[in-house]
Amino acid sequence: MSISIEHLTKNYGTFRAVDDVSIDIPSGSVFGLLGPNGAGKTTTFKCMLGLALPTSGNVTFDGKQLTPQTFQRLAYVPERSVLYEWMTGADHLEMQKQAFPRYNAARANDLMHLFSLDGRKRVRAMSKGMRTALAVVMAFAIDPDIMVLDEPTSGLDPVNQRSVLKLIIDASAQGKCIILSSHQIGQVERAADHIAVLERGKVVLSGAVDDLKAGSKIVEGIFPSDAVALNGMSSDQRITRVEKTGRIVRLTVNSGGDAFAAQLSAMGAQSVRIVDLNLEDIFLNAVDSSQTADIVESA
Amino acid sequence: MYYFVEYMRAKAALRIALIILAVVFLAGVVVRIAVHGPTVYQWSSGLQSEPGAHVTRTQLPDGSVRVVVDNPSQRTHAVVIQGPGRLDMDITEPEKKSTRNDVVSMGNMDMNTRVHNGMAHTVIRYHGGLILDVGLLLVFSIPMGIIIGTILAGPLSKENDGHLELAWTKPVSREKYALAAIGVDASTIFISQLCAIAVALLGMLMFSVPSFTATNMFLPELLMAIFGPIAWYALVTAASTSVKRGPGVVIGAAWLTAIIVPAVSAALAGPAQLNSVARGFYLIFHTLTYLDPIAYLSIKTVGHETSVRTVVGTDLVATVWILIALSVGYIALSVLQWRRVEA
Repeated sequence: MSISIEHLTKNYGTFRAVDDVSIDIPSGSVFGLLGPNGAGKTTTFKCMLGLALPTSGNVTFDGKQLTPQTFQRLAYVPERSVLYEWMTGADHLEMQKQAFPRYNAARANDLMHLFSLDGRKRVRAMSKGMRTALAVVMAFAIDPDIMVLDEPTSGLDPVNQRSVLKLIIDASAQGKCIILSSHQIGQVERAADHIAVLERGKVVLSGAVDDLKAGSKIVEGIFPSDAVALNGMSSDQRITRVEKTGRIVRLTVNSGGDAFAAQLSAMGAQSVRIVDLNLEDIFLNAVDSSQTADIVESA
Repeated sequence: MYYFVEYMRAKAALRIALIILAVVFLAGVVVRIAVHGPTVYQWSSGLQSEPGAHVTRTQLPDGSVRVVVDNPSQRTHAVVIQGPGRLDMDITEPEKKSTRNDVVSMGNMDMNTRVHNGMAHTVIRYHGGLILDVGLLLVFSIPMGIIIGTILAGPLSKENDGHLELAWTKPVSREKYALAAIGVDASTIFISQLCAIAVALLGMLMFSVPSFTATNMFLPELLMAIFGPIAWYALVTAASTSVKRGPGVVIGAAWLTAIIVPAVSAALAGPAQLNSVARGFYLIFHTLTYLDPIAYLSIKTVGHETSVRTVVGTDLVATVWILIALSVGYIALSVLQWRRVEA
């Protein structure tokens, strides 16, 4: 099942939370939605699922509008816990069983065991990680074709984070369509084959991860002191980003990596290396984040 | 069953209803033990079978039997008139206490005892078995319905308090979800009322076996018993559906308003005749009273007559129609809001 989001816009009063977002999520893919806090990821999910009414735009599932029946094949793990504090884990699973015809009790039991969850425990007595794990169990237990996962590893320990990631990858291998957001870019990189980066409600970058990585390299030079003159390198069209952190200079280049490496050596760099771009670099390039220290120039 | 959460809430509310009823029933048991003693029939036959009793029986024209018991050895004299569903006793007997005057009236029995100079004179009027109007019994279950209705009120607001992502990602439309939740609650309210009636009957059976009767107002009384609590529940649900932090504050405000509005309306009725400002306020509060289901749920007893007297002065049949209209209207208002709420 594929998902198509077309020109989705959502305003809250005068504030535009989502601004003309268009994304196509092919069937059988894992789609990572990235963006800093407040970029509009959760609002996009809510508009997709009819939890919030879009100001304009359209969302279709296999070319059809969202209907209540769509949820027979769709699972959603929200960013924050929406579980009922007074109910137990077993009650929540019973709720899923009663509502979803494709609920798989054996699968639910296996997953409860995987995350070491006690079904008799009330949610109010659960930690944040246990609540996230229970939400993940509830989502996977209904055997959905589409999964919308908003921070599905939030609060989980590294072992359980890995388990969730494995579940996502396995589900993708079975042809499920998965869209997820996470602040753990490394996890998205491991699981996602397509990404979109949201910044202030707008899509600033989207595409297949391999395509986005292809061609671009990072040329990194370490200098003896931080008094490095870059001699107007940022004006070179092949450089998309110049980043300077103390003695370290990182150039993101479309082509000519070897030439720039030689140039940095000639400028006195003690060591120079050329590395492949990772998703974090792609993300930071896209959002032009202010979180990186001492950016000298941006191309 | 996508209303599983509401079903769980309903179960918890019924548990509370059963606890309340168990406490009331236990109180009834304590009262029954406290007033334990021979029945008037046992007392009458005991006097007649005492040694030395001289008994004279006379058939009266209305079919009842007049029994005169004279027992000089016991210094006892009694006149008993016993007919179908009726027993009158007039007894004079020795008493250790010098002076006493007891007046007891319990249901269908009145007893008056006067003690003077060591002799007690007791008059008992027993008007047969308890005759119970089933319709009024239903109406008397309304308080339990109101309690459980208040506990369950605002189911949509409870979902709006951080659970919309679970409620709305079930394979069911918002309208069906809302109506199913309200349906579960309405059924639970009525079940709690039936439980209250069952416990009330059990309590009565501890004292006497009632005989049942129904007037031609049974159907309106039944409908009032059903729709009175539901109208109240629906009002609070409609007022709270768009509230994101649960219905607690709305429930509190609704109770205050439900009590204050009719009270202010009644208080302004007099001044409204004299003062145009008071008349303006009276019209506002009086109109609001028509929207308040609690204003329709007053039951008054005058002498032996118990009847429904609404604050707004409508008769029982009109009251029922108004309560049905309020229930439907408030539920429709709740569902309309529910369609527009956003997570």
